[in-house]
Amino acid sequence: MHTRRLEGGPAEPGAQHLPDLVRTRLESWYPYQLPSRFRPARRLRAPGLWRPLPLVLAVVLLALLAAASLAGPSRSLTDALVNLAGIRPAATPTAHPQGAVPAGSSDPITSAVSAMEPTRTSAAPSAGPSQPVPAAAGVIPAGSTGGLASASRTITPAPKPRPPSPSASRPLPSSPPSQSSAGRLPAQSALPSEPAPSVAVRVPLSPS
Amino acid sequence: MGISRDIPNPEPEAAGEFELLYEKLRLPVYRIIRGVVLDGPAAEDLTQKTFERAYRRWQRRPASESPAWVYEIAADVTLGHIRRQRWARRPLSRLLQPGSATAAVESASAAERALAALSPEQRLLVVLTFYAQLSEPEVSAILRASPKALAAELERVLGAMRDTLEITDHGAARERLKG
Repeated sequence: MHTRRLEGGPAEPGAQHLPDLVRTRLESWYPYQLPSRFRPARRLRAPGLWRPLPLVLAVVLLALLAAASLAGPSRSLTDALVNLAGIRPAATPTAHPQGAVPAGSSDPITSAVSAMEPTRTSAAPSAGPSQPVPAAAGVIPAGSTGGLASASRTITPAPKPRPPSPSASRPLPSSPPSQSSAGRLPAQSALPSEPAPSVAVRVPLSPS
Repeated sequence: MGISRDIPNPEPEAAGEFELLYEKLRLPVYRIIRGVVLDGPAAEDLTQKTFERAYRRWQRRPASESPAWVYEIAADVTLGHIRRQRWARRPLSRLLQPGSATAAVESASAAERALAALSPEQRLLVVLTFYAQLSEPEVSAILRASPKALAAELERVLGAMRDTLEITDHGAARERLKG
């Protein structure tokens, strides 16, 4: 049938019977449960259909990420990041009395950055232990958060905002008084929180 | 029984002709696999896997007349099974080394003890050469080795088998080998 060169003959004399020994032993082996007729197992079609699903999902995800990166950072994403960072955009109006923040800016990023700036700049020119307190009061939103937070802040520093207000009005003379008052309009909601006693004093003065 | 494949057959005819091939090669494939794994139930499972794979290949392309292609699939299936077992039983890998299986087949025949002293690849060489009686190129193709290297390996294998039988067999096998 076939050439059997490998079996041609063991060189060692003691191993001459080994091929017959192995062949005889193997021919005595019979399977117990191996079926006598071949029945091919049916292969399921469904796995073939669902196989590329992870690849398709990965491609769709990559396409979405690429589209998002090409479109640039969205506004809502920036807002969410700013909120997650703990920087509140409502701090903008309270920074107005310091005179370093434009009150009309409504961009959350610029307002958040400008809210950070007064805390740095106000600490530098003003000396004395009373200066950090108004700076901290400026960061907290006064108008939007209601009176509770502002009331707690205005108890101690109530007499103190008076001295910084003239110093804070130094940058204002560059602009006309009408514009400055117009610019402060959105920020006036924050005014009653800080100088609450002073407003009570002004009310009788204005009719006179 | 001539099994010539020139064109792919339709499904029912191919299945029928493959069934003839299965009937012809069922026992040889089982014995070859059992001669390597030395385990009857495992050999039956591996025989089933072998013919499943052979059937898929049969459907894809024509097969040669020689049964060597089925034996090649059986060798791949068997050696793959043994490799997976080695990885699965890594801490017990020393028990699967050649020679250590001799104690497990203490009550087996002389041929089984001699085979158990070999590595699975060496057992496959012995079984394909002595039992399946494949030609030298066919064995070389299945084991992916040169005929010269296979001849040298076979000499070593026979020497190891003889030594095993001399050591472990105290009865008729020694008489046969030395007589």
